[in-house]
Amino acid sequence: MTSKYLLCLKRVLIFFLISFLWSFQVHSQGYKVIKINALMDLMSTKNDSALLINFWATWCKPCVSELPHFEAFRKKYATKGIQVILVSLDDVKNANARIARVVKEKSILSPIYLLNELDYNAWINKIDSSWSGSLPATLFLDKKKNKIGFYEKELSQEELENIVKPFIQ
Amino acid sequence: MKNQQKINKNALMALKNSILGKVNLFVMLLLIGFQCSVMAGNGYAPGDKASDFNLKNTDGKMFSLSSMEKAKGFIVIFTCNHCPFSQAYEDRIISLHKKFAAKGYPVIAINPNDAETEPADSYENMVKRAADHQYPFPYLVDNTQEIAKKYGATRTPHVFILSKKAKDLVVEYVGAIDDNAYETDQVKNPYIENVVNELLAGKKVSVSNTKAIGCGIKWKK
Repeated sequence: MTSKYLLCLKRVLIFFLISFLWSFQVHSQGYKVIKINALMDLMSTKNDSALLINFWATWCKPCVSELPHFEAFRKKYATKGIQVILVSLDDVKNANARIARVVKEKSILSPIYLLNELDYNAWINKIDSSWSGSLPATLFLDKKKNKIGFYEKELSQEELENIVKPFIQ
Repeated sequence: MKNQQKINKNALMALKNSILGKVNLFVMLLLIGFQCSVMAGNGYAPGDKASDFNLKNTDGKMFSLSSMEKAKGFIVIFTCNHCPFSQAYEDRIISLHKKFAAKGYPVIAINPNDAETEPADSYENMVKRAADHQYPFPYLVDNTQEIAKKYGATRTPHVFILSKKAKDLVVEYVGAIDDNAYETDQVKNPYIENVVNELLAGKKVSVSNTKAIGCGIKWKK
């Protein structure tokens, strides 16, 4: 009885420890460095949410100025079947301080990934064949991860609303 | 009773209007989408004939490709002052010109950005940057953005390599400078060098189209 109780307690403690470490890691770094295959996985995993992916970089002024639209959007629709992720194309070597500054300034809580793939020509077409490579750019997939639209431009809050409106649950 | 009917009628009208509004919005979005796809479809692809231009250089004089009679072709690069990618590539652009201008393929740099949107890209700042970094090539301002639109440039830097064939300028390559913006020593495919070397050797261009991340051109609003 005692041993079972201890085992359970141990498990609970480990669970909390892992959650704590995980949250610490996410908060201290603020973003996760990924490769194109991981992004393709995110783009093809069918679940309960439609997925709005914004490609941006800290050096891209129009990108940074539209981030609050995506953040507001995430807040508004998190429980209504729309997931938002931000994919940064910053240089991984000096991204820490730059991303941290933008995250702080714009109060961003949306998940941020840094796509560390410098051979752009090798993967841009995988995201969308119409993409010439300029930032900002935004991809919208429904929950079955069918492509609904790709937008190689700055989007206003209103445009975003119109794009996702039919997919809100 | 009459009032009730009136209310019902009003409610119906409101419903009709809101549906019509939605249909209108939908049609408008479709049209915008269509227009964007048409715009994206514009611009030059390899094999197309390119237009010459007459744009103001940082020396204050107007410049046209036709003024360089001895050139075999041109490395036309849409670039600008403020964009970190343009800056990352600046030294490489200067080297490309030094390497290939004497062989007949000079670099012609064009800044297409609207200076109102991005003051760092104003003509005055172009003059300053060209002087500070001793640009050995023309650095032209595309004030009306007409040339950027005609060529189909969307970002900086965005390269169009042209060759002279009889009286025509033929587009040989559209795309990136090389395959690594951040680390010069990690470049595996120096796209521009390969294309110009192939052209100089009279060979067919093997890679005529590439893509790269870059700063979107700041269009006039």
